[in-house]
Amino acid sequence: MSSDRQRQDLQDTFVEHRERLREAAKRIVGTRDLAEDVLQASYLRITETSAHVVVQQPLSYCYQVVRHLAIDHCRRRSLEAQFFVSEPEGQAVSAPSFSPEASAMGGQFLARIGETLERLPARTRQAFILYRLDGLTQRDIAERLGVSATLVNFMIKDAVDALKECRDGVET
Amino acid sequence: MSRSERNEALWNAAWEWVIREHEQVLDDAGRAELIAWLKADPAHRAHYEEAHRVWLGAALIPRPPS
Repeated sequence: MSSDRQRQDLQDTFVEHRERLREAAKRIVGTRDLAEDVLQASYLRITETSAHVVVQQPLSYCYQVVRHLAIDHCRRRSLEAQFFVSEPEGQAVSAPSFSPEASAMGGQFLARIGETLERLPARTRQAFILYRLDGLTQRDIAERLGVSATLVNFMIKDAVDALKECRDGVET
Repeated sequence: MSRSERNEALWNAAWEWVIREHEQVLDDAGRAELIAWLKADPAHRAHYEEAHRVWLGAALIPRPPS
């Protein structure tokens, strides 16, 4: 499928299921307004990504993006709240906020992460997906895959170590 | 320590924080430790944010067909 066609498909799917996607976001972030922010970021993210990675199941991908951006949204807000809570007055004002959102991530950056995961052995990738996308514990993953917890631990470590090399490089 | 060694060390530390946060919800002490680390140096925060971008990116890769 061409990336134009794929983008069109994803956007149509997103628009068609917008209400339910917003409900899914709202269950995580709590309010309709925040859910709306998450949806907007998700739409941008999906549009950008569609040019760089192959999406086989558009609707399930829309849910995946909404869910993970919603979780990240909560994480960022909670971190920000705690980060600034003990700042002396005035200082917090100029402090930059925590990373805008994933919609700022380049599609090529994501493609690189995707390639890194694809290079892993299939079972390692499967274990990692259960760990990262589904949030399963290593013990649950072992049970699901019918392998030892020790093996799962090694597989997750391999995947995490491989991903660690995907950084863009921070100039400080 | 050279600049690149320092960068490497900061990246390792940031990455460990991100994985630790995924593994468990930090308790108050852990949370305070993270915030203190982030506040100690803007470079810590830059690395932490970068580590989070990678970690979030991994969750945004389409699931392969099963």
